[in-house]
Amino acid sequence: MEPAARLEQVSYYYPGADRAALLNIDLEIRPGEMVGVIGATGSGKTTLCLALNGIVPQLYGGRFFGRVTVAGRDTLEHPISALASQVGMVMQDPESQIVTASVENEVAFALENLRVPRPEMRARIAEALAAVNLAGLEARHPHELSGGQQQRLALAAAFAVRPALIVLDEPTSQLDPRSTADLFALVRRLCQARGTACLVTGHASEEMAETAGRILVLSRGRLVAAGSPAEVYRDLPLLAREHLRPPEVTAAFSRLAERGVARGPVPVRLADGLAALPALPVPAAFSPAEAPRPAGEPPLLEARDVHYTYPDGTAALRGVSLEIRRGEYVAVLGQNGAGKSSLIRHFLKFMDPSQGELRIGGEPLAGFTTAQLARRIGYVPQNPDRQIFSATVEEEVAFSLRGLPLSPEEKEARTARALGALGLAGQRRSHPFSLSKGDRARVVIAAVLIMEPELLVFDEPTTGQDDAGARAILDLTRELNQAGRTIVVVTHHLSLMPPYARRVLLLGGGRVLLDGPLRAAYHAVDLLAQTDLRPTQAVALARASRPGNLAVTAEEFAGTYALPP
Amino acid sequence: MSTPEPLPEIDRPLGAERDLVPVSPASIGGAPVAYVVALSGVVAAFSFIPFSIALSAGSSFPMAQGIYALCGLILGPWAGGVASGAGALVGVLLAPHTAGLPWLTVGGAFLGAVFAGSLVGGRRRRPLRVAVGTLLAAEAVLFWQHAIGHNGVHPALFLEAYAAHGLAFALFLLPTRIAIERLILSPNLKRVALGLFLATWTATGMMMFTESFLGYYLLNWPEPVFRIFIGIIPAEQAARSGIGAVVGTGVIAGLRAMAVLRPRGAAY
Repeated sequence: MEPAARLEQVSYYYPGADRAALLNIDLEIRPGEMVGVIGATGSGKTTLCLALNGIVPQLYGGRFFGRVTVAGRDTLEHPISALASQVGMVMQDPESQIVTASVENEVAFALENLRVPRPEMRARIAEALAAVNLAGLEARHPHELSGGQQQRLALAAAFAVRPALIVLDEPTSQLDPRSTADLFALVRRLCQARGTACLVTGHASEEMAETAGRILVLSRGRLVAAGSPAEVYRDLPLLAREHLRPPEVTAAFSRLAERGVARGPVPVRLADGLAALPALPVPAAFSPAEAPRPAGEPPLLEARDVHYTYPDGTAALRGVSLEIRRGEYVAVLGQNGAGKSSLIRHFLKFMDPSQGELRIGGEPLAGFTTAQLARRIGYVPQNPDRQIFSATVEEEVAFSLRGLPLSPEEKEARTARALGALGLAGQRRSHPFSLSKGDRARVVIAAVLIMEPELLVFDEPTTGQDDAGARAILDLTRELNQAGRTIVVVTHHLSLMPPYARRVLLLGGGRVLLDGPLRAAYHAVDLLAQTDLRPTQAVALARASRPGNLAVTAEEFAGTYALPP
Repeated sequence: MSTPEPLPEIDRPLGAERDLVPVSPASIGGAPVAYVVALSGVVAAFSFIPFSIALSAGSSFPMAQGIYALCGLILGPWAGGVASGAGALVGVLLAPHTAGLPWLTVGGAFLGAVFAGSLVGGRRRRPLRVAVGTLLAAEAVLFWQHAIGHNGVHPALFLEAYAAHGLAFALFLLPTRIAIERLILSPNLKRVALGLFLATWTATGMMMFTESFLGYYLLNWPEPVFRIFIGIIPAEQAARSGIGAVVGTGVIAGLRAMAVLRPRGAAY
């Protein structure tokens, strides 16, 4: 059977680059196969995706070696428009690839361009929307869909073309855990049902292990490992070397195996881990005391019964009340559409409440302008690229100081401090868009930090970051917190937060469902289920191991087996 | 075609290097249609912004006039002309308040990019430069003949009114044209900005002279209008060139940083 895609000794250099973005890649993807591609930021995952539909090198130029064929077509001998019928692309940000004003038209768009006859087009649209559970939403504007629905719409549009290969480049980095799991399961189901090959890149190791048939590991453009999820995720030295995170169940059982507690193959899927628990001894109960919340009046930020309803009648916030004290580190959790962004926008006065009141330092927020608030509350947006507009890193970072009554020496000192704190001193003359996404995020953080705000709000700061990059950013937030700043991190990456946040605000349906210590929140599985946030694998293992085991990380879970029962 | 740099011994690719021959028919003069559409969108968007520092023809001029030249420099004369003209056409339809004579606006947008494209490109574009130079010279002769010979406008007044456009033509004819190209190709963004300022001055100066020449045959404005032009034309030229320099430097810095495929006719 002809492979869906084949890469033969493929190497690629971007224009002007002296390091290969891809180097000597040999790969074959079979019809119906779901291949996961993992690797640190900058390892070549996106370049590999773009090489599969000819965008690399046809759009980017550069130097290209070897051969890529998709469904027998050489990607250098066919225009991208012709390859589009054989390779479907689903990108990281679903909004960036939505081009029409209705769900139905969005799926029809590619079919119209490929001149599919109208009756067949209708049939394919219905089939694709049913497959991704969007049937009935044909007339809805795509921007009215949740992030998960938008990504499923992008998938439907790709599948409707019936390509030989579908490439998904970090499709779940902006989705909540439930949507992520659903999308991976959906991709796997569609691949198997239709015999379409799928290549998925990303950092969602738990979902990769659950669904992919084969995992490839890229490192600095090279294919350094390939194998089944078990073969790859059990190789912890390789993962550590490549700054990759194994599934939590694998990390936990690896530690137990090292201590001689667990025997047999280390599981990479949660079900296998849960099945292995009865063979283990009973662990100790684990319920450490929580650190007290910082005291002091008044709270730095308060919300009292805040409501907000959009003009179309959608209620985004329904009576949110909370207090954030100086020196706290708070994680705001909730699924897409829970009200997290609306709440943050109220903090910054980008939105005014329909009802209720917000206060900063005891004073009503209504008395401040957004510019005044910007000096007290720093906001780091989810997508750094939307905030960058200057030609050099230094200009970007120093921009916020322009209107402030500071001496040139003070401005220079602050700029140098912010650049130094973020490790950007050596790149001050670089164009921000010449940096990696992780470094661009650092530029934006530096630009916010330079204002020396009391409270820093990070909106999904780990999106699109590899494990090392995500931890580096969160380490920075912890350093800032230890230096006295108040930190609020909006996220749905639950597995990353335990070493950092002490308090969790769980939002769902525009309400605060839970406000309490992180450990209690992570084990409130019924509430998490209401918000489509599934407990992490470590929490699931701890709860299954014995009542009263409140471990929230793989290390803690493994540690409970070293404690007296 | 330049010889590729030798690759480092370590990391040597094992596969054969492939020639990157454009396989897509969707290009104009080597510039992908996607680029043309993108720049045309920018021109259309800028057409909505009246840049009214002066009222030359009884109305303000759209900000888009500052980036017609940029289209020609980035995409080459023909693709740039199409992008610029198409964008201006959309602007004329959707934002007529910023366009004086619609056909002149669209034609001017096309010519502005073509003139800018003719500024760069070395020997390859010499025939285009000769054509542009001949066209401008013919316009100057006919304009002079009509204004001074026929309508009796004072020659000094005519020369003063069109001094800024004359400067543009001089920059085009003299070796300054080569200096402008080198400035735009410089890695130093301040030099790029200077190059874009001069290129925009040159290309839009010649474009505005062409529009003025055609407009004069249509409207036959009286001598006092020439007196008003003495202050207005240089100010408008400076505004257009400033827009071209600021927007163009940002665009070129971004394009260089993102390392996307450079259109064949590009001068950055």
